[in-house]
Amino acid sequence: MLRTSIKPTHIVWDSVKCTGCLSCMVVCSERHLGLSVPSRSRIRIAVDPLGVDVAASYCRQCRKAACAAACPQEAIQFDPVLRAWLVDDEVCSGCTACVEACPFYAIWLDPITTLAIKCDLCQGATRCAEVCPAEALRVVGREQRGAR
Amino acid sequence: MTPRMGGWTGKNLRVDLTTGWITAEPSLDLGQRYIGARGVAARIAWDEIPPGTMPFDAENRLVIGVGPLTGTSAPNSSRTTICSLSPQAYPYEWFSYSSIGGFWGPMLKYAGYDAIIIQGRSPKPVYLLIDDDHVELKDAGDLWGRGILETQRQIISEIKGARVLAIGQAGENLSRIAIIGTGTGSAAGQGGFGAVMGAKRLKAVAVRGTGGVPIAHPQAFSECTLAIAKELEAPAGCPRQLRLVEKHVQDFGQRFSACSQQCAYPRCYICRGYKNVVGVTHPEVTYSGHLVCESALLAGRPGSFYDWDLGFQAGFEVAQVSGDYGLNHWELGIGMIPWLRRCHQEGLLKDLDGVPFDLDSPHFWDTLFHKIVHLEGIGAALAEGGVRAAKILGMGEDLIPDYYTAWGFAGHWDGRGDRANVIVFPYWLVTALQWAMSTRDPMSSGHGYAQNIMMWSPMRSPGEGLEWDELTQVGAMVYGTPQAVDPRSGYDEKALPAVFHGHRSVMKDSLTLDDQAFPRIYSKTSLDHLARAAGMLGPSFEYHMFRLATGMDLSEEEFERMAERVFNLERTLQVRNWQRSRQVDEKVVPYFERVENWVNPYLRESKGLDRQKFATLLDEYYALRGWNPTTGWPERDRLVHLGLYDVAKEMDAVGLLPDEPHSRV
Repeated sequence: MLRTSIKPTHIVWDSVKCTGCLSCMVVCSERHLGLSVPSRSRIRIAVDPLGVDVAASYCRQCRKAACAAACPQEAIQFDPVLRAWLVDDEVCSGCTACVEACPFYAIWLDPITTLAIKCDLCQGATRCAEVCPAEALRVVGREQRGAR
Repeated sequence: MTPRMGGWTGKNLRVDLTTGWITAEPSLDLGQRYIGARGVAARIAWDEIPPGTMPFDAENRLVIGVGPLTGTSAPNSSRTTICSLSPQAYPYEWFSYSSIGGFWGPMLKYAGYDAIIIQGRSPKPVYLLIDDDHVELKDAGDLWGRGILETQRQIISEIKGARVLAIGQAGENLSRIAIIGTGTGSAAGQGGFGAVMGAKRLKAVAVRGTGGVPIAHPQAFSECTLAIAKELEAPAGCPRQLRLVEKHVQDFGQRFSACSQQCAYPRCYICRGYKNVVGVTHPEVTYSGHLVCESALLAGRPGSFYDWDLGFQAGFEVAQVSGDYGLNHWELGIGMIPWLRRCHQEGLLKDLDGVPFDLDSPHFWDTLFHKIVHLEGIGAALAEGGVRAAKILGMGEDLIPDYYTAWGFAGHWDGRGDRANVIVFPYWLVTALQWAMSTRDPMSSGHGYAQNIMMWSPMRSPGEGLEWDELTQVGAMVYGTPQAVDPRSGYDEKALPAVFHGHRSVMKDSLTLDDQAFPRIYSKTSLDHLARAAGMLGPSFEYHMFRLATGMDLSEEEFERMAERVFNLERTLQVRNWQRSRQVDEKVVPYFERVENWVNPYLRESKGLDRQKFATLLDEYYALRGWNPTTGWPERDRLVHLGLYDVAKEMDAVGLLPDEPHSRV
């Protein structure tokens, strides 16, 4: 399935509010790996080391997901319960087709496993948005589900 | 099954600049005994720095350390603590410490190291590159002579994604007020450690790390740090929040910007970021970056004691330029400049080698900085710091105590020299005890007590903080007696909080955590106003995060004992290497005998220190510490109790262990 009829749940990032503290990257890695390792995070915040500019790469959970369409293994599937696109580690070959296809630079290879990783909304927990002190990260699309 | 360990990486790096040898050493044992960073550095200093060693000697050690929480989700945990013999300290150039924020510390952890121990002296300027496992000394010939900003820019252009600690021209030229800096607003300011790097011909330490920090109990740790981060959203030791200034937002893109990784304050009352600020003295330059506490002060606060008015653009430039040179903002803003102004007012200083003395002129500041870092004219003396400069120049020596508290450091939360931070009797009694026991301005402990109370009080935050009786009640819960915080308590029970926060300062500088953020004590969200999160009490946050990150199975008392061990090791080192004693501690007394700047609303008159009563307070302090009340030396019992057997043995051998135990505890 390359296009979902269900409205996805996803994260939005506010470039004005973001302070560049990187808390989201650290908690993302702790959540997924039990390690504080921002280089393996599924959201990336780039902070100008000699200025105050910030930029972010994060998954929009597109309705029409270029990553899923590009995957020759069909390893990226929409989860209708979570309402997010998930990578199946068992199927992913690490070919980077998705990495090249994503218009938001929001999917990449984990440097250790060399398999594709992307935001899976922490299987529903969205720790990055929870921890963000500046409310620069928010989860949208949940309200329709009745929860939260 | 062996429990999973976490927090520490397990490795230290040792770099001998004389030989160029770089080795990795195990660090876990050190961490499990001395926590990390400042605590581990104390042990290294005890083992490796013999009496008589001076800051600029090749044999001096520069220990750049992080702790078990650095780089994790623990809020405000990005600090690095730098320890070495202090060129700024006076008259004793003793082993001291300085903390720096930014993003460098976490990078060191991700590269896989808990600390870097630097010794020797390089034959030529070099910088240290740590790129995960790859570590090398690289030629810094091109970087020498450049500022901290340009040094970072050049290294980062080569090593993409690296974070850099660097010195500027001040450090190269061995100014005793030289900082080590990173980013645009972070500095290991106090101590003069930039000059130690300069003496070692080490221009910078660049780190790029892609690895991870293991966490012993990842799920529980993440829940714990998230709950604490949410508690911290009530800002730093203070109920107040900063706002953005519309004009600055429009003109300079002013924004809330984290000066440090893992900063949990969205609207920190200290720090904001700016971009594209065109220089006034150097109109060809545009500056971007942070303006924080000290740098904002340096830029002037019209209407206050620091009333020079440079305007925003020039003020921002003054802060950036002096930071780029690598000059200590606190020393300049609270110590040297006010002292120089006074010398000028008293007719002792006509001008600056012919340049008219005008603090409202950006050009004056620019000239002053240039002279200091290049040791030109009067700048050669000023580069030694205000206290030494007064002696060298034979100028305004009697005015020095109006601005400098002790040990060569300018006032800080003491109610006298520091006129930026409002504090009244009896709270500065604890500050006085902290100064008496410290090697520098004791702010990693001072912020926890004095700043916390004053900023939460009706004096500083009317309607936003707590009432005096509410503060007193919280104090009773934290320190065990309401007298510790009661505004009418006078000299009663002031030793307890001094000891308590002495240990907190060790925890913060060792774990590492930001000293403005912890310990968490006061709160407006809990019914009894004691900070709480997820069933944890505020003052215990450090312990819970430490336990869950490291997996060390220990009680809160045992954790407190680790901090006490470090505090005692530092003291014993001071006794062994610099003959620290009660007599030395008491050198702070005359300063605090001067009448305070502000008035306690309950007392309605300004107070000075009562020498007799303070002597009793010192007795109480030494008793709580298990230190001999006559000599001020740690006693055998306490050292042994803290597991410092070998330290006690060595002190005994050199005759620096008190003969009879006097401890009343």
